[in-house]
Amino acid sequence: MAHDIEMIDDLNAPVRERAAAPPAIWLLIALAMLAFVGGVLLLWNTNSTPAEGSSEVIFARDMTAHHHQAVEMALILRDRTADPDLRLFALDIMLTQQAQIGQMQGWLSVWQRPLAGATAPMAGHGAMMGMATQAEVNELRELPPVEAERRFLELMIRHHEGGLQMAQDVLAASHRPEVVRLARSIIEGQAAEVAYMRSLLAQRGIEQQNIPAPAPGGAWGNPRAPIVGVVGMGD
Amino acid sequence: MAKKTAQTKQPATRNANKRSAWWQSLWLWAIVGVVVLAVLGVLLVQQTATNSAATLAGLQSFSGQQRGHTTDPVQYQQIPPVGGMHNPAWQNCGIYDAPIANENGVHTLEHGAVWITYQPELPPATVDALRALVRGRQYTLLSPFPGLPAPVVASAWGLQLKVDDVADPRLARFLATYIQGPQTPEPGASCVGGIGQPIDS
Repeated sequence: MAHDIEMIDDLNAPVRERAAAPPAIWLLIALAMLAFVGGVLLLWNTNSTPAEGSSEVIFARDMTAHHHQAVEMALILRDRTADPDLRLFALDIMLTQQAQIGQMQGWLSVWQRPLAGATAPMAGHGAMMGMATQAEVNELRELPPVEAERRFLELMIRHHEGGLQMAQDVLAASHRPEVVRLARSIIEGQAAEVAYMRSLLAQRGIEQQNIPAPAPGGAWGNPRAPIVGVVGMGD
Repeated sequence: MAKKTAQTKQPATRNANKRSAWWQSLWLWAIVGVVVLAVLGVLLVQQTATNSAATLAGLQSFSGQQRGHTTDPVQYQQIPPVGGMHNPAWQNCGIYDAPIANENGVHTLEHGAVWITYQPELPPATVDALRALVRGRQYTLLSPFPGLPAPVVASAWGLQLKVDDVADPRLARFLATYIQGPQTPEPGASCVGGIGQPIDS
């Protein structure tokens, strides 16, 4: 009988040994598994950088092209005008928008997307976003300086309003903090510049008629609305 | 009595230890398996994510281009040129209907542009098709080039592709790949503010 009890005791002994297996090793193994799963998820982050065709990638390319034209027009005007306010304003546009181009192309670089898309930016609908035609840009070179100043203000107001719409469209489509931050900054900055340009036109005796506001959602109903109503003798 | 206890103890303990060891080695192999699969998965994802654009057939590469500025005329080794010494002024990007100077065009290549040249004697419809190809694009030059060795030649810094047909799909791929592409010696440089007034852009 004592023998049986001893056997029972003996059978119990290994169980106690199993239960007494060091917990530290299981913890280590669990941590290692978590670390590797976490590492895989972090590396496998293709769904956290914007893909081709996403609103963010399209915005970065389109707005870069849009800004590039603003820089072009400001450069031309600055070389032709003697008006110190306009020269300074043109410089401001150039430096700010060129820096923003750098910012957006930096995003594309970090997102590992090519700077150029497979097709032209703004899907060929630049006019709807306030882009000037090459002929209009060339006017800035060819018109007499005072005329060129007026034309610059008109073209740039229309250009800014297109940019504002592009920025509003991306705010509706994306929540990426860096994109939202820049889009808001563009909206505030360029809206203020539009007001300033209108005041400069008014000084030149030109009351600019209101451009019809774009339809919600970014659909442009009237891409080439007339933008000038000459009131006084501005030039 | 003690001896007998020890003898009955050993097999049970051995079996239990064997089972425990078996479980432990199973866990170990399971973890190794997960790690191996994870590493393979990551490698696979990274492989497919990298730009898998196959090399353009017929693409020529000319490395070692000089980059300095000179106001003198330059004799270039390639027709049309793909790099080398160039004028301080870059040619503004856009569509031109007259030839542009090599020394200005090369500077624009340095800024990341693709320069498409065509034989001036091409029919107007072909020229229109070329213009449609680049219209609206950033960082492109399009100009006629007397004496061109092929109907249409696309160039980027250190790279060139000759095609016979404007509808050749390699042209669009060249544009998509090399406009401000990895070959750009001077990223961020402008394509406006230089010289020249394009007729279209």
